[in-house]
Amino acid sequence: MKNKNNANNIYRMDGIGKVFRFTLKETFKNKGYLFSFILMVAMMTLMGPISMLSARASEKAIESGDSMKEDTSATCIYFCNETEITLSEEDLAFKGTSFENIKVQFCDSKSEVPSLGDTEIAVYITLEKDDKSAPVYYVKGVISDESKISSFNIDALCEHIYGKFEKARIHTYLSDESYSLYAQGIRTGKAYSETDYNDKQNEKVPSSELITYSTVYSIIIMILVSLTVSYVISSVMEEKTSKLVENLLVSVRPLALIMGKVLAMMVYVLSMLILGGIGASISTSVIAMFNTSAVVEEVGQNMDFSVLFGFELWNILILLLSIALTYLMFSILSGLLGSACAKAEEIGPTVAIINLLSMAGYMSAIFIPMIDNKVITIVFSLLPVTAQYVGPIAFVCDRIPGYIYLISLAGQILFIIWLFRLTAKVYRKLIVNDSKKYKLSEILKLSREGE
Amino acid sequence: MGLVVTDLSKKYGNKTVVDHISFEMNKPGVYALLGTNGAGKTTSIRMILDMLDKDSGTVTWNDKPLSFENCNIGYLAEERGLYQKYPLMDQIMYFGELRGVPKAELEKKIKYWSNRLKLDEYLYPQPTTDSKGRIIKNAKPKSPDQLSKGNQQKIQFLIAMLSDPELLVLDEPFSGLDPVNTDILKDVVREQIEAGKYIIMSSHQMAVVEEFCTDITILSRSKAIVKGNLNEIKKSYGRVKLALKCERDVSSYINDLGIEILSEKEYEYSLKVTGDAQANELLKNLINAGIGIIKFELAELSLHEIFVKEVGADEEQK
Repeated sequence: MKNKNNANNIYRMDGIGKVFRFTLKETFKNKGYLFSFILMVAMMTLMGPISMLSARASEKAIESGDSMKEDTSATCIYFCNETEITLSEEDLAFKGTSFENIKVQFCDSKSEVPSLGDTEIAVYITLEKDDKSAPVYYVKGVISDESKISSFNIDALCEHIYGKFEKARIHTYLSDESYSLYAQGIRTGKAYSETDYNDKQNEKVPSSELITYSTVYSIIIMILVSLTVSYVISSVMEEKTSKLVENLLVSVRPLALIMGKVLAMMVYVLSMLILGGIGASISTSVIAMFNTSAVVEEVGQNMDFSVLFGFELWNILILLLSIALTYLMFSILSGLLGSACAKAEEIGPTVAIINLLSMAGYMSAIFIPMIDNKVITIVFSLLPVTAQYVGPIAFVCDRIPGYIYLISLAGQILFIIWLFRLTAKVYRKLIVNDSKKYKLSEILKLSREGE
Repeated sequence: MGLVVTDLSKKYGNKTVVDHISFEMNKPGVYALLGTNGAGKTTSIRMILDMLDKDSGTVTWNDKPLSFENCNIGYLAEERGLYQKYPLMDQIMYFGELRGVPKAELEKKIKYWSNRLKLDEYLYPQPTTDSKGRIIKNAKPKSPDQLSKGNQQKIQFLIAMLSDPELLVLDEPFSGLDPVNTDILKDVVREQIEAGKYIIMSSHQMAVVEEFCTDITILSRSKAIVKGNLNEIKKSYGRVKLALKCERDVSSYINDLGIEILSEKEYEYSLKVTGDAQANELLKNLINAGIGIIKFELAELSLHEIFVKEVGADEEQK
């Protein structure tokens, strides 16, 4: 009767809602936690605009050349194109660049270019041939001996004109479509077995995209886990440090106590990230509306976590479920190991252990798609911890078959259930013992002791 | 019916910390768990309350395994503490809600117990007013770290009382309290006894325990060495304490009968007799000798004396 009663009791969750509400309410009422929350949301909101503006500033700095020079602004460009390829002022496309306000004067030959002033530049485009090689096009920038214009500026100008001339040159021979094809270049493939080759041919998602998806997915989990671990551990240790756990245990079962606290901290971090994400998304969009620079656009794309929402609905749900399961797994683990800590100074090493595990998963999510080998992907999709990082993306990107993913998912769920049961068994032992730091091996030993 | 603890045992590694302890509380009252430091009192209480796994034994309340789901338990733990970061009132409400007390009722109970335990100034601080009664400073509730240990202990006691518990477990309830607060708590315990509550009390303060308890278990080195009704236990030791005060020195009469003198001060003696017969013989001899007797009081051993005697004897056997 004793064991049956005990077994019934340790999994009881009555009161979990009250623990959850109290912990969450007090967390938001606590000035320290509230400040962290606001700071994180503000940082996330401003991160996009700051990155974009700094990228824009860097771009401008490059365009405007050597800032150390006393006076770098050119006032006039004499443009002399002696080739058969035509370049109009429109083709030069100075608009939107730092050369936008410079007067451009077209000359048919070098002889038409006057003696250069100290703020004037001459640009010559010529087709030249020496004795040994085929003719070569040249773009040359010339300034006066006393010019105040930096060489950096001239290089930037020549680079710009080179780009436009190159485009005009190729367009002379190719249509837009042919040019686009040409610009893509040629990629080399390694030697494949016949099966691999057929698999590759049938891949819906190319390797480059797989790497992107996997990276974004694992970064989301990494951020969630790394932010949550210390909060969960601190919260779980609160009962020990305040020495009131015994008062609680006559009102609520240990499992309900720890799970209520873990869930509250998960919600705290999740709401912080969701609000921060919404803020970042709004601020990035607003900045992008007023700034159409390609660099700014590129920064916006680099920070884009929404690529994962490009999948079909079912796949999105699978990814969200996997993120939730992984987040839950790491949070329960944090709570369990946190309750094994006896003092505040033991929090650091415990956080490090969990972050190390999370990092292992992250590394596998980065490297496995790079290798893009079916057998290795399957193995890592089945191993605990790496399965959470590799399995879901591998499945939605068609790298592992459905039944392997189902096994992987079942493994993840079983692992969480095992952690849950372990927590139920050992938390009540750990929480009333406030003098000793338990190692993982000791926790496992405790779980094997009879109830 | 009531509380039945049977054959409770606990080992940590090879060390037995509670060794087959059993007792019963068939009727309301105070049951005292006494013992030296490390004798196993707190471990026993934790096992009774199902916070620790038992190696053996059962604990039943009205014939069902005891748990807070089938018994309204109030508990004042030996380790005092409160959440230091959270407002006092929030934590009290939290504990009350966990015990299942409805919110409206909870607020009334907190008010009552706050007043009863003289905690109003911490839980319901009044604003500072000037001579005309105008508020010059709004009152801020005190945070737990601004409270003395004694007041934190009273807050914990308040929490234990919120659900109007039928079983109250008090582990060292009076330690660390000043005489005024000790009296406040004693009054509450008396009220609870009168209200028909079951109380388990663990304490080192024998005089206080003796004031309340009807039954005891004395633990020494994890075993119960004395157990039963306090009056019966006292009776079993007989009336062996004699307080005697005479008008002149009577040492020779005492020595003639081989009575042990425990203390002596100006014809006032504290004696240890073998029983009623020896005491009566001494009285007869003194009367026959015409010695004026001011005080002659034959009494049982106090709980303190029984504790020291039994635990001392057990320690000697070690």
